[in-house]
Amino acid sequence: MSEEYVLELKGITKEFPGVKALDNVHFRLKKGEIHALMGENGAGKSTFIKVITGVHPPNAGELFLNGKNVQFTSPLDAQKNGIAAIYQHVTNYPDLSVTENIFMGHEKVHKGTKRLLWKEMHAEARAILQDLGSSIDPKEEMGSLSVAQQQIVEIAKAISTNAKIIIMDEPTAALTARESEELYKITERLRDQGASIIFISHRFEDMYRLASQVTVFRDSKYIGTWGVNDISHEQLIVAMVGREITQVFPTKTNKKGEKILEVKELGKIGYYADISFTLHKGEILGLTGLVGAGRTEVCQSLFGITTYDRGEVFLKGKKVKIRDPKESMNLGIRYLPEDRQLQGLVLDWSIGRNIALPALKELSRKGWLSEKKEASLAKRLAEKVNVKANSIFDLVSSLSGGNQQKVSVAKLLTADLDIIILDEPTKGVDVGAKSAIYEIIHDLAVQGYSIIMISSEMPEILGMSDRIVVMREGRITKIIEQKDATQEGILEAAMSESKKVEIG
Amino acid sequence: MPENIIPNATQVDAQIVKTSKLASLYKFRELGLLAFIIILAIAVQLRNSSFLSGENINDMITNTAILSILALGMMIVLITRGIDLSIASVIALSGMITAQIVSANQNLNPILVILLGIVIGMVAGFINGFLVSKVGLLPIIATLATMNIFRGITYKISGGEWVSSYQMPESFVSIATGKTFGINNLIVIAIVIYLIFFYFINHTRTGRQIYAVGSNPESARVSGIKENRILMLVYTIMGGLAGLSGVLWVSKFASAQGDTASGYEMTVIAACILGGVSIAGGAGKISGVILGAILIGILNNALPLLNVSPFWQNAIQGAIILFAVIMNTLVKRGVDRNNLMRRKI
Repeated sequence: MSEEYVLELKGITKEFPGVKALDNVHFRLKKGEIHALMGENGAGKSTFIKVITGVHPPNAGELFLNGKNVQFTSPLDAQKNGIAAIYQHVTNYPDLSVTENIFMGHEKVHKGTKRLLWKEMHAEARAILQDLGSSIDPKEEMGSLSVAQQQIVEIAKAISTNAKIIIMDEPTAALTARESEELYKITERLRDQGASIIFISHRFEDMYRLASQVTVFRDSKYIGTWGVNDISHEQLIVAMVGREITQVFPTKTNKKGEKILEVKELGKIGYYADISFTLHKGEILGLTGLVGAGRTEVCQSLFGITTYDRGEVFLKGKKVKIRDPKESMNLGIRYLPEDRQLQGLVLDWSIGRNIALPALKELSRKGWLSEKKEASLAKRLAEKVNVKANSIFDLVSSLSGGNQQKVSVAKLLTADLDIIILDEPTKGVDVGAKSAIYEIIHDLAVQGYSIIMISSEMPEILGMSDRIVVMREGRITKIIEQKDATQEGILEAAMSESKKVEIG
Repeated sequence: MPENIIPNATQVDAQIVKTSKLASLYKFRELGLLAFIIILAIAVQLRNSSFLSGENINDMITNTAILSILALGMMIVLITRGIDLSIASVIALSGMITAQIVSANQNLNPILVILLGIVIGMVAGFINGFLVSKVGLLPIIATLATMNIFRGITYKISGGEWVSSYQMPESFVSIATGKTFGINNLIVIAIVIYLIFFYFINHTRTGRQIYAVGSNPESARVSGIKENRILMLVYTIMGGLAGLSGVLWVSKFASAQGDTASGYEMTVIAACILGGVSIAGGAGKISGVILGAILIGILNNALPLLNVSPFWQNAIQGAIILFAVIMNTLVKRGVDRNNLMRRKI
């Protein structure tokens, strides 16, 4: 074993029920190096960190720390061995002070009485923060700090545990350019002081600015490690998305009709800004971007779940203001949420009940529900989307993920509608069911429905969309026609600095 | 026309200044409550001049002592995202058992009686803690069940009979009526408990871990905090305080009944909420809880002095709690909005 590496992982495999989150991946970290780890959503980066920090013990593979084979059984174990992680979603105690956040788990106490030594802790916290060039008051409540400041506190925490290996999971995702620059400087200083850093990011600029090495994961697999200067931008993108597309998509026969929806400069403070696009009759508009890009937030605003602060929405040329889901349903918009079990379906009810739920008013007279009408409507729609079940009286909970999704779609079709918004329609369904769902989506478009499809899956976006809107950190970076779209082009747009898009 | 779309910096800054005024109140929550109490006291005093007399103030504090002790225990339970509905039943149970014991053994040392009450309460609290942490029941369900069980046991052992003042020895009644250094014993006990709690909550590792578990259970686990042990601890402490209060209660009112303190858990929870303890967990200060208890004590004392019909007293208390919670929510919303504003896109 080479002593040169402070951390080396060999052949790590991690399986969760039903998925292989990491498949025989490797990683080597040198002392005093900043090593970027890159990949798409779901490439396995986050699981990989959790293996290093002892949260998820791997199913196979070996971990070497300074050349010694080790196994971490708990996060505390990893912490004692000098490994600290700053997670993507800040994991702090919002109600407690900065000092407590830094020292939680390794507080300073009086040797005899075990009394907490607040003065010493405050002083050390202040010293560490000042050393990081920050003037945060250690007595401040954590929850009142900005995300950037919280991140600095997390780094201070890593320093206070004497971490030699610091892992940063998308630390810049929520930061502005200036705050990012601040973070870069801190990171470089840590490196110069001898710490080794694994830097996970979706941003190319982060990698070019900081890292000397870059490792790429794709679809839970190790693709390669390069010196940052030895690999071109294009090669790197190919490494991240260079998969063969094997999934078969329906041959497109839907016709793009007149303009039906126009969104102008929509914005919501803290979530997204300057969102402009159009949607035509019979069109499938793909909406993609990395996690946190604000896609779901935009669509939820179009459906009225959350309201937008600025901008305008035109429906069939008429300006409308959507304030709640009831209004948007009256306007002929339907939204199929990502987590259909939570928001879309009543699992303990039969298929028929679920499908007919939105149409109860039409199916009843003087408050009495006609079960005959309910059953016939449900049957018609269930057949339309081809739900596989013995009868419409089967419970939804007995169906597979793909069939549940079909029930959700059937439920939408009870009403007169023009626009269907689908949020990650194939998430958590198997390959066969995916094809069936693609058929349905395409069918709907052929029938003249306009569809907005949010998806993180590159092949699906490419195979299904007529046009593709790419978002990054709350802004649209690119709108691409299907004929011009490539995996590489989309990823580039999803990861690079925002450019102002001309509104067509 | 980009000027119309993108808020320019000054616009955004102006908005931040506007909202942060409300948000800055957040830090001075206790001061606000104190101000409210003072205004209330002055208003009552103007209507009835006997309100701020030495005697009435002494009465008020003595009557609030038990409430304030219970509110402390409830605070740490609420901080861990829990709740304890069983405390009034524990008061009745501990009060009944100790009253029966002293009526049978008239010469028992009062200190011993107090300790006995605490132990009874701790056993009850330990059961709650076990159900919540080890069995994994929701606190509201677990303590709702034990509330009825403890109450039932109280009725059972009392056989439907009261233990009245003439059955109690003088030494027992004087626990609540006697004085130490010229101050009523209840007040002395409350002060001692507050001092111990202040040290425990703010200056021990375990005390801070209670907050950590409530503020973010996920990261508490990652920091190696034993969540189950903390939960066991807070319910047991709560039980112990309820057991102590049972002895004090029975001694103070010189009577132990099956329905002693019935419904009192809600008053205790109300005191905590008024004092700014978050039902969502993680937040709560001793200073706030004292003020919350005092406010309820004042209301209980002042409304009768003002000849407010007893039918209205509950409604007025409820309205004040509602007002406090709405203020709290508005301020919180302001804080959240400020945090979002900082995130530029």
